[in-house]
Amino acid sequence: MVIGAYTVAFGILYALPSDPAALLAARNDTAEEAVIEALKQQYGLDRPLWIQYLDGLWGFVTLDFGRSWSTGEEVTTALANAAGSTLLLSLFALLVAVLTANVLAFLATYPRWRVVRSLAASVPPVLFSTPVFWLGFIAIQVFSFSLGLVPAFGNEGWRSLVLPVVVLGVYISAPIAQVLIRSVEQIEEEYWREILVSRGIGRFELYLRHVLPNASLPAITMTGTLFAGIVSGAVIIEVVFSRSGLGRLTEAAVAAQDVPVVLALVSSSAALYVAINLAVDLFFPMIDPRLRARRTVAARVAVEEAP
Amino acid sequence: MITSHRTRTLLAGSVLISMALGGCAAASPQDTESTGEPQSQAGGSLTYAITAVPCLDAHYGGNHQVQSLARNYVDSLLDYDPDSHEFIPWLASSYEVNSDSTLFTFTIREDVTFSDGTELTAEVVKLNLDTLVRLGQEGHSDRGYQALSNYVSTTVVDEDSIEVAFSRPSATFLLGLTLPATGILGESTLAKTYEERCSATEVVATGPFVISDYEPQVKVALSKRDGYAWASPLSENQGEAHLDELTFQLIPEVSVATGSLRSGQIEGLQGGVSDTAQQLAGGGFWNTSVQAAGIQHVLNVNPNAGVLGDRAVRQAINRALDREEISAVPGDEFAPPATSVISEANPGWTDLSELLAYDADEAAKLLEGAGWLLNNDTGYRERGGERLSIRLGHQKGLFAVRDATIAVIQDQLERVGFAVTIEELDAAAASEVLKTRDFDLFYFSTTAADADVLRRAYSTSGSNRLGLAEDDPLVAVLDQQAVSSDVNERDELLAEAQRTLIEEGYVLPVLQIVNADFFASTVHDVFFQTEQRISFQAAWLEH
Repeated sequence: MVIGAYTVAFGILYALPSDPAALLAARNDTAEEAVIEALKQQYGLDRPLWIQYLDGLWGFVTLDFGRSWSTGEEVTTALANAAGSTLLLSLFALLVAVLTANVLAFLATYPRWRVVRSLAASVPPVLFSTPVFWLGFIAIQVFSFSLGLVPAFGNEGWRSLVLPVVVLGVYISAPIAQVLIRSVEQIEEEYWREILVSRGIGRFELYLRHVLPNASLPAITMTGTLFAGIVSGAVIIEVVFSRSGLGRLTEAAVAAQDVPVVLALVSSSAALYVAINLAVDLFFPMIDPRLRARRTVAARVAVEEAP
Repeated sequence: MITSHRTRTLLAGSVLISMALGGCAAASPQDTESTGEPQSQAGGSLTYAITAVPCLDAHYGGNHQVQSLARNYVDSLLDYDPDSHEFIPWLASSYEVNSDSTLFTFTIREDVTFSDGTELTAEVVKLNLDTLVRLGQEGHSDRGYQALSNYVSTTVVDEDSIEVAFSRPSATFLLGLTLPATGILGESTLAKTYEERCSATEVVATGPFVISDYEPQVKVALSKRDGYAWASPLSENQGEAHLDELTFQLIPEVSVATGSLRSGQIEGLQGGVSDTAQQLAGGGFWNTSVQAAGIQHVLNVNPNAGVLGDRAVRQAINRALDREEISAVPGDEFAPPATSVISEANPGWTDLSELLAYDADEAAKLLEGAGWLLNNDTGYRERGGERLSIRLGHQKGLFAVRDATIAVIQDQLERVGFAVTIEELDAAAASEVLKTRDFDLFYFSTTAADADVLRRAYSTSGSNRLGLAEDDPLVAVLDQQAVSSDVNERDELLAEAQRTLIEEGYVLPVLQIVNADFFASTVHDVFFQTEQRISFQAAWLEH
């Protein structure tokens, strides 16, 4: 899948009619043929396409993507620096998202007042259909420009992290909350719930110890696949809050037609996507005893069948 | 929606400095009721928002942000005085030019040191010029390289003087030397590769500030250079910078930059738009409004494309454009109608406003004369069953071109009977379209201090954007001005080129390019040098 992503990105970047070297030269306002040829030579664009492809692929395997055409930085270094900042933002945002989603799901299913439940249940769809940049601008307007609580831009200190984390977290909490609410509602109808109630278990304990863990499985799968959403949200959030990170790097690289950086970004996003899905799959048995049990049974069956 | 009010009048204490190409125009908030000049105060730190900075290197090229940043850490051999039209020695203490402008002699100031303590010598200056030419050939410098066209070599005559030789007369070298793009860098910086220079923070130069910290995508921090004593003679401050710290904060969203300025988180911002002005109105902020040198916002007209082969049709487009109305489009309020292809800030500019007057009746007459008759059912003109259709191309997001501006142009042309299709292109597509000349009208603009930009854009020795023939008389005029050693003769050639471009309907000026920067009222004495590159060398903050 990673190689596939690389191949498609390479195809789009190199096979398009426009000449990357001419674009580079155009950026520099020069049209001299000699200059364009010199640039092609420096960036290896004068070699056959398949060599460039294999070379790039090898670079990916050895984690050496060369240097950015636009900023001159080592792509790997630029990527690593930006990734740290984005990872921090994404992880905290995910934390906020999970917390928010749980609170919303609780409010949408637990209280006895119908008004509260339906009000809470209507929050995720509204959030989900709100553009994240709009949320960002409103948050900056209120908390930075008007109240002056946090800076509106930059990476300095934890205070600059608060607003982006909360905005992104609240934004991506919407789909998680929606799935959570749905599965809690489904469980309400399951037979084992009646058994527990008849045994006299408290309402809150039932929710916390039995309903929520069961309901969280689909939500966790969801969170894994949400990764793409978190990253694309982070791109927008980083631009709105003028933070460094993969988002700003992507934005700048695409605007400057910085081929090596774009290629590296696409391939490593694909790799990260694969890794996260793997992690989610491995994480499942830890919360669901049934999955663990099934595997042990399967293993035992396999052993017994062996000659 | 089209309104004719000018937002700038809403600004309390707004200051308009027109055509400040050079350094003598220091800009401050109004000094109306104040008695005399306010006293400058030392110290403080100023944060100025720009959108992005891809590279820190002064020699990198024409990128406005990079060059604005560079102006504050790099000095040039010469400065240019837009009032007297003279070149003022800066890091050079004097200069001489031979009669045919092929040999330039510079004496270098003796008391200048680089930020790493090394001395400014004739040897280092030679190294700068040689390296610039090599960078240009490799495709990593444009402005500096262009200034050095036909460069042969630099000879070190003695410790403090050099001779720079060209194979053909160079009319563009002296002005080119006033740019940050040809600024003098230290030996250790020049020894680095282009890539290292782009992202290196240890930039060694002689300027009033030194880069102290660089966080990619976040900010570039500069601190005052202690002992700086070689400011341009055009600066009001001949000593060290008043500010201790100067930060170029990278804020891509102009609305965030505006809000940050209003809430006191920054002190200035580059390239504001009309929203900025409205938000800042009445809040004690002021703006500079400086016309940028270079090819203004123009329509390149492709004379080889279908119906536009007819000069009458091209002239009809010229007459159909109501530049006052375009200028009143919200967001364009800072840009008055263009007066020629190039800017008043370009030496060699000539006022051709009379050729650019709006006259829809004249446009209709020209089109009828060419056989294009109005079809009252469709509202478009036709000739022999063929509709008068043209395409209007523009590059998305470039030069702050607004969709509204393009739409107004479309509307004006449709009013006289053209059928206009708008083609919005991304950078890659635009570059391809320009290269293959697959356009009818293309909204174009490029900044440059030297009027030679006309040759680079339109002559066959340049990019030949219009597809002119080798033997077109205009080509000869464009090429001749670049090698003209007599200033008056060159100005005449440039005037002829501007007039021909408009009269032939090849290039139709629309609006001026204007850079509007906004500052808090506590900021004083920022000034603009060649190419409208901002200098904070004389700037000070009221505490």
